[in-house]
Amino acid sequence: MPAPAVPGAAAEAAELELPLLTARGEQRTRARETVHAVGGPPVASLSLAPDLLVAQTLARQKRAAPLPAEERARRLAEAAERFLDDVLGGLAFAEHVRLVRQVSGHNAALSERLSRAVADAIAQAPDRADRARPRGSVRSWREVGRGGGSGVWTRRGETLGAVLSGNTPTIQNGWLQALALGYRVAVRPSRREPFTAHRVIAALRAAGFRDTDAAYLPTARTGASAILRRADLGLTYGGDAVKAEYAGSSTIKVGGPGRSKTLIARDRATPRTVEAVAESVTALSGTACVNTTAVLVEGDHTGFARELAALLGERAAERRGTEDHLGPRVADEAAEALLAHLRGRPGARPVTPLDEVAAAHPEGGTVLGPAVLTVDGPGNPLLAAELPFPCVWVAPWTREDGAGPLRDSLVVNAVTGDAELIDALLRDPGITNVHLDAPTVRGGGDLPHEDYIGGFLMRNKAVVTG
Amino acid sequence: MPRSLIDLELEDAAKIDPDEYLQAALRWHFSEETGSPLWLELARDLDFDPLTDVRSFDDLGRFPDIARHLRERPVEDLLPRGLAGEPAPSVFETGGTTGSPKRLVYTDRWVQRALAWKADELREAGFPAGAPWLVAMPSGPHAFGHTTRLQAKALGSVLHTVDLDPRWVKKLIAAGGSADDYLAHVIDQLGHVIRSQRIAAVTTTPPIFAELLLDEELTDRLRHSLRYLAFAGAHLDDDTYDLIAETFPDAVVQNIYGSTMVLTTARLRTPTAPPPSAVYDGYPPFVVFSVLDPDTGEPVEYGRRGQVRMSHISSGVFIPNNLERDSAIRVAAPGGIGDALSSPRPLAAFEGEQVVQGVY
Repeated sequence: MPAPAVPGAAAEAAELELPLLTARGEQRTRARETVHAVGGPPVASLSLAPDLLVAQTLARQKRAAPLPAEERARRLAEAAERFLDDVLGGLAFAEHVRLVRQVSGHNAALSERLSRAVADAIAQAPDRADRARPRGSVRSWREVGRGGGSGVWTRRGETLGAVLSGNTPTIQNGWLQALALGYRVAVRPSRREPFTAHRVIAALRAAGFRDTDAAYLPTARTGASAILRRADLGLTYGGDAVKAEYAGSSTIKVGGPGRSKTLIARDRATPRTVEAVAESVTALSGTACVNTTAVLVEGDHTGFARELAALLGERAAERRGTEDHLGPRVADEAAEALLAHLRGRPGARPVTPLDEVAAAHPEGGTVLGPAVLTVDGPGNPLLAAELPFPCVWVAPWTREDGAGPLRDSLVVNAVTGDAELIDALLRDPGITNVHLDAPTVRGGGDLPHEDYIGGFLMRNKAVVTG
Repeated sequence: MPRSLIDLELEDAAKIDPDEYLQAALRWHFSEETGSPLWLELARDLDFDPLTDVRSFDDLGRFPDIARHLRERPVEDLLPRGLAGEPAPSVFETGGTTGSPKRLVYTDRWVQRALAWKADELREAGFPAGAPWLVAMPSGPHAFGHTTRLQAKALGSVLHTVDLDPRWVKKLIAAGGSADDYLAHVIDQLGHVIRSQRIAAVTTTPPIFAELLLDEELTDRLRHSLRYLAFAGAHLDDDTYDLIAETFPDAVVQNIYGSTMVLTTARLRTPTAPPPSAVYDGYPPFVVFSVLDPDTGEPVEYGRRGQVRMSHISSGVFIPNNLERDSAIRVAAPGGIGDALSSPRPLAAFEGEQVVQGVY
């Protein structure tokens, strides 16, 4: 059942005001942005930082020394607990999760699960970061024995600017690892979902991190480049355009599009496989880069598509109007635009009738997905069309097509026993991660995503002792 | 026999009857003996008679925007024939931020008039007359660098300058590059002056001053001596102003808003008012602002934001209908001629060309 509407709740929530968390503590500015719930009502007001404040904050962060490594780890562990247990910025964890749900469009259970995963990302940041450290490198020059030598894992810079997207709360994972490694971090949150970053940084400060260690700096659109320009290293997220903009930069890492795919070899299209693909398409509301957007089937691809559409349709049906909806809840105009995008595609054959893809939600907005469509061949460019809801393209594939159609993917799940093909997938520079008969959405913050973030943040210096 | 425009210009500005002035100006600019070749030529294509059909300042909107001609025509065509025997005017160019630059003629008569206004206003604002002034604004083809030099002399202040080349910076940014190296170069030069001189007044652009503030040593030095700080040439947002004002509590901070197209900057109604609450007046009947709905060309309501139109009317120049690349909130003007402005800021795009906000 949908949560009953509480009279006055929207007006009350709109008074929530998120201050900037700068190197000088809490600050408020005149430039404001209103954060809206999916479907309309305002829920919070954000202060926006002008470029000068961004630059001043990063300058102070650069001058500050990091806390010692052991202290960072200890305080991160404490911050994870405070993230879950404390009232931060006037919000208890449950209230925070409710806000995340209202603005992100994730269902209630997923909003809570992803928010709890953020606490894990805080606590585990030191260990996750350390997994990128080469075997030939130690964490400190103090560990290099006398008369010996070793690589020492060393920061490439002192400050990191993180420009976040809003599709999942766990987007904090990357910059938290930087913090664990001693970076001072300036975070520009998503203006659609600015709550998680705020709560994380509030928790860090409550746990004893100093104001210079991590800063919360929402900005207007143009402010994103100011953060990336002023920090030693930068982390940002976006599509092909952002990827291309920073393609030549060795100091800015772009989390790019996903276009994750599942390959199903002949005779592997079992009910278990249909189940795995269903999970790959719908987990995380179908909005993440690890969600499968294309399935390549050796054999009867239309039959597979029908089975998948039937399973997904059944799963989504009774949940649509509840707070357990399967696909994301999005603004009506956004839903309209996405559906229009699907309708006019030559070569696309909807298996799920397109008028069943969207449903109005009683709390406002439209729940989208799932949608299953087929195309004629594995080279069809629609296979690269990544839409922010559970939407999957199914195409035929043969052994002769090889790894080519699987290129340009963040994750490929290969449901096959063909070792040669698996080798080819791992060799292919256009494939970032390979799953072997495991849904593309499986995995975790301790695994490489677009490589380990530590590889980008750190370098190895030889230290030789006399 | 009505009085001529030249006679009226000699009057005390406060005593000039605006309507009489407007009619004298129209006679001046649209008579064969005194008008400029450009306006006499353009007059032939007007669908109204400027000598009989223009009754008020509101009617100036009926004239065409002559920006294109200021970009393309020889300067001789812009100069009214009635000024033939006078000293050659100065030619200054617009920033060149929206396409190729426009050329404006500044007669000595106009330069002296504007100088008198500005020197008075600076004194009224508490400018530390007689103390060293550092100006980092464009000179070269641009008016700002030259007029500040005259103002410094009038105020008895030594002038220190660092030059800016806004066009080069904009080219760098438009090409997808960064202005970082150029900014560093400017800050470097400012540093030499600030370290060696007791600078009491600074005029520059907000992005350059913001960059300067990141240098603690230079900021500390300025904090002790600075009494007057003016921004021009780029938008100053209210939050950036707040950050700057708290760093320099002993300095008057002004935001200067103007346009080469009207040959002067606006008059700050309260010279010491902080920029977020500043009101910008024109100099009627010479310089008149209005705030229009860009779609209909009609004035917006008072208190609403619209596109800024500026007009300049003097014996040297007639710019009746110049749409600026800015929007502002419409405020009532004293005397009811045109509008006053508050919170001016750049329009997102102008004439189809993206407006590049650089360091100027």
